Amino acid sequence: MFARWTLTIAFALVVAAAIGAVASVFNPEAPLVTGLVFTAATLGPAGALGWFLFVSPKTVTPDPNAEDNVENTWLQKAAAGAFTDLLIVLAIALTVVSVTGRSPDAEILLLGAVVLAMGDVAIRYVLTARRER
Amino acid sequence: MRNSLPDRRAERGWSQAELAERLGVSRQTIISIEKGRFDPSLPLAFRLADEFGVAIEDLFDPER
Repeated sequence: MFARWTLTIAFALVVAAAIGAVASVFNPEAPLVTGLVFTAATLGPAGALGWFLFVSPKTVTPDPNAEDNVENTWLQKAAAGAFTDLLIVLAIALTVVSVTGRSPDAEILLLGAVVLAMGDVAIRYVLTARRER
Repeated sequence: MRNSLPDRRAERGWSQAELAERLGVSRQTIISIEKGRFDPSLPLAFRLADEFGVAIEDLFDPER
């Protein structure tokens, strides 16, 4: 297990440093600061990915009955509804951008889409759980 | 779908949590099934029937 944790930490450091290096290449005005910020910001998620890849296969036992639970049904309903909502919002946004010819930054659009999708799933899940509890 | 789950569970003196543990599902799943708000999957329905030693049609009744 020690070896797996060591591998996880090494994986996280390498992945985060690689992302930081790529970010610094695309931001030549302040490459050092950019690289450090992106490395620090992605260290956590990279560590989580490393844990998922190297540690969890030995420490987490998959639930063979997971799909039989009512909570799984609630999540599926919430995800399906959120997907439809996201398609509608993106179609409306695309129409507005096409008509006006004005487009906000891609970062804002993508961040909005991600936040909308995650928030939508969460809200729909809570509402479905309350209704069908 | 109506079912006789609460009665059969009470006959055996099992709590919802105990039945859930026997079947490997959440307690909320048992609650929702008993209230008729969640139709179990076919494998879970078979496991439920097997747990009570009855046929599926004795446990669940869509017509009632």
